[in-house]
Amino acid sequence: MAKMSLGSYVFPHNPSKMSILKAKRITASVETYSSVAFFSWGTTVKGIKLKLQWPFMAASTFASIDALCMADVELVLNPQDGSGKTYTTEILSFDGEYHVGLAVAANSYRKNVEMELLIKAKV
Amino acid sequence: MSLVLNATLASAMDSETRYPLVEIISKEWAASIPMDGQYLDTTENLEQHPSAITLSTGRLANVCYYEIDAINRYIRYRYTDVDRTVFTDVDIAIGSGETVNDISLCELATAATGNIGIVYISTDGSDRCLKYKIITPLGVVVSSNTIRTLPSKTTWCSGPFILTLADNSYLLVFSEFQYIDGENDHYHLYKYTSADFATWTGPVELSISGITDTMMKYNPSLIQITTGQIWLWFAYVDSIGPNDEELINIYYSTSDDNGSTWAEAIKVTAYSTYNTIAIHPTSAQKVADAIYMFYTERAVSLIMNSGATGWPEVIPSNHIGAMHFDSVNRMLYIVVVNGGDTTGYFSGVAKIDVDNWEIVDHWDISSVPAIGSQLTYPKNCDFFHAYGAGRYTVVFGPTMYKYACLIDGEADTITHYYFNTYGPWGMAQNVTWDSQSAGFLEYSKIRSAVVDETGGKIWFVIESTSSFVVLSIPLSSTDNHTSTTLIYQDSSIWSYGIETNAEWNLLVVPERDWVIVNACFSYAGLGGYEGQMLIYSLSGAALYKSFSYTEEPTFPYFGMRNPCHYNGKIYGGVRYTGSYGQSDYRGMAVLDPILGTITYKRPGWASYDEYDIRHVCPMGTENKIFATSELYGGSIFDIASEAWTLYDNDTILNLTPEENNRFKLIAYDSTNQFLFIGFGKPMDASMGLVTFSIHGDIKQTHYYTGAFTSSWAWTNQDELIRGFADYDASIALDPDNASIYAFWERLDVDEYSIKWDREGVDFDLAPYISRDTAITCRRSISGDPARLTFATSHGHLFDPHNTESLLNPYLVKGRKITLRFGERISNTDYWQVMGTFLVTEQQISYQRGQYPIMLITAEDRTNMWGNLLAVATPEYANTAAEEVIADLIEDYTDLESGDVNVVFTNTEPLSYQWIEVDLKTILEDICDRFGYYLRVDVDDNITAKRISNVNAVDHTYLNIAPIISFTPDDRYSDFTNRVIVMSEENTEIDVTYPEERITQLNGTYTWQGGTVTHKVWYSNDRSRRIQDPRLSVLQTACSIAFQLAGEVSEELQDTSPYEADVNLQYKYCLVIVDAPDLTAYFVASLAGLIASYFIPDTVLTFVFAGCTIRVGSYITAFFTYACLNILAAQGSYQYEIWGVPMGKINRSIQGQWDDTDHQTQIGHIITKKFEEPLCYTIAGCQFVADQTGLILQLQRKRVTFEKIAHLQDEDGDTISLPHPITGQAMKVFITDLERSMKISEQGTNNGYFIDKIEGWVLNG
Repeated sequence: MAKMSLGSYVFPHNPSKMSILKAKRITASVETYSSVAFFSWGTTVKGIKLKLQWPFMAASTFASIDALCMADVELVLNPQDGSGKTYTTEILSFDGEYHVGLAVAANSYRKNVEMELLIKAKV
Repeated sequence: MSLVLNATLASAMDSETRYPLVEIISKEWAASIPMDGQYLDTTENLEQHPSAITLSTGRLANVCYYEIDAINRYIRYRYTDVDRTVFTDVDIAIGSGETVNDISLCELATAATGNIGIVYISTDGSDRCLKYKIITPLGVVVSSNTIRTLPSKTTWCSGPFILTLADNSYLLVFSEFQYIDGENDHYHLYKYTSADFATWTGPVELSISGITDTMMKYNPSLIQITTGQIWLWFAYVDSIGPNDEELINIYYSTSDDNGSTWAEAIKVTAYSTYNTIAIHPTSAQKVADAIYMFYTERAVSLIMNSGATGWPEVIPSNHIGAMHFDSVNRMLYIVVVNGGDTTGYFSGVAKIDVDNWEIVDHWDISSVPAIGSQLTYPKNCDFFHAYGAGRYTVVFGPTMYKYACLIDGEADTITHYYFNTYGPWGMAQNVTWDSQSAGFLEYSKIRSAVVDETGGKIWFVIESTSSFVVLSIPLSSTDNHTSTTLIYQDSSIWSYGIETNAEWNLLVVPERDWVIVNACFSYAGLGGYEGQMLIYSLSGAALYKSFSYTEEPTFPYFGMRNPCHYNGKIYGGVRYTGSYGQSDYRGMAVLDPILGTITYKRPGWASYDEYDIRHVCPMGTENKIFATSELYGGSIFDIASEAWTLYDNDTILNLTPEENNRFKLIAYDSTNQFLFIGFGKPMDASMGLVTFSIHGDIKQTHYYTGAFTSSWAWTNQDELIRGFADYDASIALDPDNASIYAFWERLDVDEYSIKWDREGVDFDLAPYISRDTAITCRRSISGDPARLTFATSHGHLFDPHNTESLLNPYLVKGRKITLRFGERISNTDYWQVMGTFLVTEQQISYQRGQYPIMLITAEDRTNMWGNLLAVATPEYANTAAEEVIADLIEDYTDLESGDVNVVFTNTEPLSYQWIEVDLKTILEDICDRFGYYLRVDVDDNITAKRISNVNAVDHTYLNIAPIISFTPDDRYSDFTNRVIVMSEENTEIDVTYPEERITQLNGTYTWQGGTVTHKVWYSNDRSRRIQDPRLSVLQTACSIAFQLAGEVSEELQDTSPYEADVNLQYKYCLVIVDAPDLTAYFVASLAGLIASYFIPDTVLTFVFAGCTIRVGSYITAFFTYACLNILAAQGSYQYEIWGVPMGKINRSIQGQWDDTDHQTQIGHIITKKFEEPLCYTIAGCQFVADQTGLILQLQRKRVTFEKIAHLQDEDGDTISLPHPITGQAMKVFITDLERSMKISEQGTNNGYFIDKIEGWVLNG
C-alpha cells in the first residue's frame, strides 16, 4: 500500500489502525405502536470522523504532522486505499504520548499517536 | 379538502421504510432587478471605480480605488473563495501621493499562473501614468510597472480597460486628448497589446469610422463574445451645447481580428437632450446571441409633467398647486391644477414613488375612491387649496359651500367633510361644528387646513367677515365628523381687508404649543393691505402674540408669504415695498415669536429689491431653509452661516425645460438630500415637477439587452439598480448559471462607497441545513401564522452584519422561504410543497469554541397582518362575507383578488365598518362568525377551512402502525355548558317613548290682535320626530278689553304627519294664537269720545244759584277710559308643547346553546355570554352560539398524538385512525399539526420524520 498523504505531506508510515473510508448510510428508526419506521437519507462521506492511529512515531514525524494541524487549514486526504478517491478534510485533533524509556530520550519518539479527521467531501 | 398528493408519493407515504427529502429555498419576494445592493465596507473611507471579473477557478475578483486619507491610498483587491461565499480584502499600496483615476483587471492566461493583471491610470505630484500590476489570486503583488507616462498630468484621459483575449494575449484600451493647436485638438481611442502582460506595444490609435476626432470618447470597455468578435464600448459626445454642456450616447465598434481593425461605430442609446446623457458602458454575454450592455444614465434633474403615466388630467393640467413629502413611506404627493397660481382649477392628486420616480397612484373625481365632484369646474373649483403631511393630503374648495376631503395615500381611502348643506351640489352637512351663527354657517369659507399626523387631527380655519374659528377633527373620524373648536376669533383683531383678499395659512406646531393663523397679501393683485400673523396657544387657545405692521413696524407690511416653522422661528417670504419705512426689508423674514424680533435675510447671490420668495421649507434637521422664487429659481439659506446658495438654470445647466426659473412649491427628502420643486406658471412654455440632488447630478445604472438574429437588435430594459446615486457598475457573471453580480459606486451625501448585488436566483439552503436541529413546520387553526423553524450551519455567512459574506442576503428578515418535503422513490424524487414563508427571526451567537449555528424562524404572510391597522374600513352594507375578506386583503396587502380563494357555505351578507382595528382581527372576526378559520395554503393562496364535526373524512388510517404515541389531553377545556350570543338586527324599527315636554313657545300680543300661526320645530336641527303633540298653556292674556271682546284662544295643529316630504313628517306642529281684534272697538270709542265733545254739560240755573249737570264730561270720560283700556290691552303668553318622541332602534336578538347532558352531569350551568356584532338575525346568533358550543364540547375531547409523517395531512383535515387500545376508528379534526424532520447525524440514529397532531375526537 502506497503511503497515505494529507495535503502535501506524505506519511512516512501509514497508520496502523484506521477505519475503511467509505460513504455511510444516514438512517434512523422510530418505533411505533405496532411496527417500526425506518428512514434513510442515502449515503455520504460528509461528516464522517476518521481516526488514524500509530503506536509509535518518530518525534520529527509527529512534529511534521502537528504542523499540518497547527496550520488550521483544509487538507486533502489521499488514503491510497486503491479506490483512487481523495477527500477534503479538517484535522479535528492530533495527539500522542511521549515514549520515554531507559534508553530512549523523551524527544525521540511518540507513542499512541492518534489523529481525528473530519471528512468534508469527496474531491 | 386535504392535499392531493402525486399517486406514487401518496403510496409511499404508507410504507414503513421511507426515504424522506427536504428542500428549503431562499427567494426574493420581488424581482431582483432593479437591484438594491449592500455595502462592501462599513467604513467612511473612500471607495471608487469598481471593476469586477469572474476567475476561471470560480472566484469573483474585483478592484477599486481605496483611500483612507492623503497618505494611505490603495488599490483594494477583493476576492471570494471558489464557492463565492466570502469576500476577502487585500489592500495594495500605491505610490505616495498617488491617486487612481480608473482601474481594470483581467485574469492572466500566460504561464498558467492564474494570476491577476491590473491596469490603472494614476496621478501623482508630477505625472499621470498608465500602470500595471500583477498579483496572485490571493492578492500578493508579483510585479508592477509603468506602461506609459501620459503627455501631461493635466491632459484629459479616460479608461483604461484590459481584456484577456481568447488567444491568451492582452488588449488594453483608453482614450486621451491630443493637443494640436488649440482649435483642432483631437480625442483618440488608443490600444496597447501584450503577450505577457509585461511588455506592451502601443499606443496605437484605433481607427473607427462614424465618429469624429474632435469629440470626446469616454469610458472605453471591451468584451470578446463567443464568436471571437471583440466589442469596444464607449461613451461618445454627439454634440456640445451653447454652455459647453455635452450630449453623450453609448456606441460600440467591433473587431474580428483581435483589435487590429474596427468596424463603424454603432449608436445604441438615444438620448437627445443635454439634461440626460449616457456614460460608462460595460457589457456581459450571458448566452450566445445575447449581450447585456450596462451604463450610467446621468441626469441634471428628473422631470415629471403632463403626459406622465398616472398624471391627473381631468382637465388638461400641468402645474403643481401643492405638494408634500411622506418621508416614512418615501412618497411625494402633488396636487395638479390648471390655471391659477398656487390656486386654480383642481385636477387631481398624484402619489409618486420618489425612489423609482413614477406615479404609483392618483385620485380625482373619477378614480376609485373618488374625490368629491364639489371640487370640479364649475363648482368649487377655482382658488382651491391643498395641504398635506405624511400619508395625508387635504384638499378643499374656497366657496361658502364648504367641502374638503382627506386622502390617505397609504390606505387608499378618501374622507369627505361637508361643513354645510347645499342640495344643488349634493352636499349634506356631516361635520358637527360650532358655526357661531346661522350666517356664519352659511356664508363662511374654509381658509386653510393642515394635517397634524402625529396628533391624529386635521385642522381647519373657517372665516366669515374676518371672524374665524379654528377647529380640529380626528383623522380616524369617518362619516359623521364631530369637530372640536379651539379658537373663535372675532373680526376686531384683524387689519382691514383681510377677509376678502388675503392668502391665509394655518400652522400647527405642537412642539411649541402654537397654532398660527397667518394672512398675507403676497402680490399686488391682492391689494395693498397690511398682513398679520396671530399665534395662539394650542393647549389653551389663548392669543399668545399678534404681529402686524401697525403693532410692530418691523413686521413685513404685507405679511409673511407662506411661512414655515423651524426650530422656534418662523420663516417666510417678503413682498417688497419701498414705503412704510421698509425699503431695506428684502428677501426672507425671520420672526422670533418669543423675543418678538423680526430680521431680514437678503440672498447674497444677486442684488434685487424684490426677490419674490413665495415658498420656504425647512431642510430636515440640517439647519437650512430652502426658498423658492417665482423669478430667480431656488436657494438654500444656511441658518448658521447665513450663506445663500442659488439653484437655477444658470448654476445647474438644463435644470428645467426651457430653463424655466419660476420655482414655486417645495418638498425635501432629507434622507437622500433631494429637492422636489413645482416649476412654471400658466402660459409658461414649460411646467411640472423637477427633482434634483443638492450634491450634483443624478446617476442611475440602466441596461439594454441585445439579441442577435440577422443583426443585433437592442431593447431598453430601464434600471439595473435602484437609486439615484448608484452608478458606474461593473459586471461579473456567475460561472454556474450566468446570473449577474454587479459592483457599483454609491454616493451617500458626500461619501463614496462600493455596493454590490446579485441577480436573483433561488438559493438552495440544502448544503447549510443543520442536522443538529429538526426542520419543523407548524400549522394551526388558532389564527397564528404557519411557522417554519430550522437551523443552518455557516451562521456567520448568513449574518446580515457580515459584509464580507456573499450569503448574507439569503436569510435576512423578510426574505422569502419555500419549503418542500418529498420522498425518493426508486431513485426519483417526488415533492410536495409545504408552504411559503418570510423570515421573521434569525438568531446566532458567536462564542469561542462554539460553531455558529443560525436559528431561523419564518412565518407565512399573515404574520404582518396584525400590524396592518385599518383606520377605517369601507362601510360595508349587505356585502357577502367572502367579498369583504377579498376586498380588505386587496386594500391592505399586496395580494390581488386571484390570490384569495375564500368560500363560505353558510354566508350571510355583512353590514359593518371596522374602525382602528388591525387586519388580522377583522378577518378573524368574519371567519369566526361563519365557523371558519383563515389560512395561507401551501401554494401561498388565502383560503378558509370550516371548523366542524361533520366534515368528511379526508384520510383514513386503517391500522395503528404509523402511530407513535397517543394522549387524551383536555387541558384547554373548561366547564362552560351554555353559550348566549347577543346582537342587534341591522334594520331599524319605529318606537315611541313616554310623553315629554318638547319645547316652549313664548310671545306677546296687543289690542290689534288677530290670528298668528307659529310653526314650531321639535328641535333646532329639525331632526326630532314627535307624535301626538299637545299644547299646555302656562300663561295667557286676560286684560279687561280682551275679556269684553271675547277670550284669547290657542290651538295646536298637528299637520306635519301629512307632509308629502317624508323628511318633514312629524318634525313640527302649528300653534295658532287667536286674540280678539279691538280696532273696531277702539274706533267706536274714539268716535264716541269725539262725539262726546259735542255733548255739552247741562247747566241748571236757579234764582240765586245754579248747577252744572256734566253730561258731556261724563260721556267724554267714559270714552276716554274705553280708548285707554283698548290701547293698553296687551299681554304675554307662554305655552309648552308636549308630545310623544319617536325613534328608531335596532331590535336586540340572541341565540342560545345548551349542553344539557353536561349540565346534568355536573349539576351546574356555566354560561358564556358575548356579543357578536356581525349577526343580524336570530338564526345567525344561534349559529354562532352552536359553533362556540361545539368548540367548547370538542375541547373536552382533545387528544394529541404522534405519527409517522404523511404529507397529505393538514390542519383543518378530518382523519380517521384506530384507537391504540380498542382499535375502534376515531374521527379526529386536526387543530394543530407540527411536521418535523430531523436527519440523523453521521453515526447516530437520532433522525425522524413525524407529525405531531393535536385535534378533537369527533365521535365517541
